[in-house]
Amino acid sequence: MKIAVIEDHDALRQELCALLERYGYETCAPEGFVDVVGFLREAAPHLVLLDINLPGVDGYTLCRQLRQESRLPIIIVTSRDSELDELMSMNLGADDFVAKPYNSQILLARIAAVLTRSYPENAPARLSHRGVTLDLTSARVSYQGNCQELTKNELKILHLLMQHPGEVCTRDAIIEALWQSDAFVDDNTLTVNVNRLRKKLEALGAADYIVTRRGLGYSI
Amino acid sequence: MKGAVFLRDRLALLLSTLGAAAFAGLLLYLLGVELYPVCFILALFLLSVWSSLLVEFLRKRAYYRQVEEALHQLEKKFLLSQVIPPASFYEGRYLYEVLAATEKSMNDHVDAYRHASREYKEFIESWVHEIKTPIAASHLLCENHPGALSSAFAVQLAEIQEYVDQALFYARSSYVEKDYLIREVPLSEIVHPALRRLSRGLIERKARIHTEGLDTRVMADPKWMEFVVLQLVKNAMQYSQGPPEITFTGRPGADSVTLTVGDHGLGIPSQDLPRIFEKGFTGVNGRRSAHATGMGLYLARKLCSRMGIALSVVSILGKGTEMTVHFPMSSMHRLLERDIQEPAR
Repeated sequence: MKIAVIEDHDALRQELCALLERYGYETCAPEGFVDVVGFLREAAPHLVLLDINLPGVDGYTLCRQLRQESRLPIIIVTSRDSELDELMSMNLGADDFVAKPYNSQILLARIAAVLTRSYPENAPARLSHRGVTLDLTSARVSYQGNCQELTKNELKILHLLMQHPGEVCTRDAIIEALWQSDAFVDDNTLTVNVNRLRKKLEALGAADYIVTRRGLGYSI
Repeated sequence: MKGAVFLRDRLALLLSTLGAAAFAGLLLYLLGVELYPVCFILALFLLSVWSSLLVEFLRKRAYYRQVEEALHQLEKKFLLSQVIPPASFYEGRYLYEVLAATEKSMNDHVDAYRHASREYKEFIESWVHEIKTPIAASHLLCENHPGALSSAFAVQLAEIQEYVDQALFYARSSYVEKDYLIREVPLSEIVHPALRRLSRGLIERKARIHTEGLDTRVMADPKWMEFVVLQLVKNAMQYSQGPPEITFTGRPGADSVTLTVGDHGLGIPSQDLPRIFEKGFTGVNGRRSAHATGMGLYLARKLCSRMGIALSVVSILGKGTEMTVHFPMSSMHRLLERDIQEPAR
């Protein structure tokens, strides 16, 4: 997936591209803003991160021009964060609106969400690791032909662990990921959720799939 | 205007006419005119003077009464010359002209301040937006170069960001013209973003969050309210020892919806309670913490009152504090009415 970064602040543009590349995206970013529409036609990205305050051009005008031309997904990334700015962005056909300075995890999550929505055929609907398969659309986990349904929190926890196989996910990182999807769980609730998830995996025959790293967190 | 005051102002005229009448009467009497005609002449003379005084008094009293009444009813007293008619007599016209001149000068002054206030707010607003870009870049730098230094720096950056937001909302709260957008929004769209923004600090302190009734809908500017709730949560964190336990409760009522943010913290001493919304007030608990600037709750209440929303507090020492936001149900109508009375410039 290729993401175009339209941002006039040099350091921010470079770091944003570096971040996106680290998470497996291709990036392209113009350094001049005279003909952004032409640049995008040439580069043909899958998604545009658009700043509103650009030298010479108004991001809103740009957004409207892009919308007239194509269905290219646009996420507006701006420091103008008032209610009016957000409404205006959405009215101009932007797919999402993220206010600066943003939490990079939130930005990545928003990008992933818009991409999944716009290119459903490319979205990984299932993840597999050591025989366990997680189906994201039906929220089911399966192992050796057996299947179990997961709750929203269990799905989120297993999804996070399966995205980083072999790595340790700290308890705080898991809680933070759950908070970002508006499940404000605490330490105890996380333990309860993980235990329930373990029971379900055990019922499928995948006992000890989730490993506790004492003092660190969990890993698979 | 009282008759006695009016007469005292014309004491010289009264005395001189009386004196002139007495002298003329005496003169006529010495000249041998009979008493009867002398009295008649004197009465005629005094009556003509006094009746003209009476006419003048009634005319002036009617006009000044009008002025007094208008002054009493006006909220912005300096607009007086716009609501009273010019007088029919010279002194009144002079007064009217003086008033008109002072009003014009006052209006120019008000305009200058209004202009300065807008310029200041616009400067702060654009400054805040400018600085958010390097802050965002710094956050990404930390993210892209993980390490002990970067995570320590990220904590400082988050603090900088909070102070920047405070400056922005301070400028917005003292701006004289309407700068918010009221719409119907569920409480969750206000509380959840605030919690997400404070997630790191809350999770680090092992906070427990309970929410109830947050699908209740209210009329407010979501961005402004998010900032308000952020202050309330920060306050709850500050007043908690150990893991904060924070409860958010939305309750629909007959003429208002309330959102209560409760903690099971230290509580606020009763002598501090009336002052916690004052600017710069930190209280006993706040003084223990180096972070208290005494601006958070002050701004929260100010922003709320700009939107016609009330903010109240109940606290029991040792048991906890409950901050309640009262959203009026009819705020939409009230705001519309106010907009009609004070049309946008």
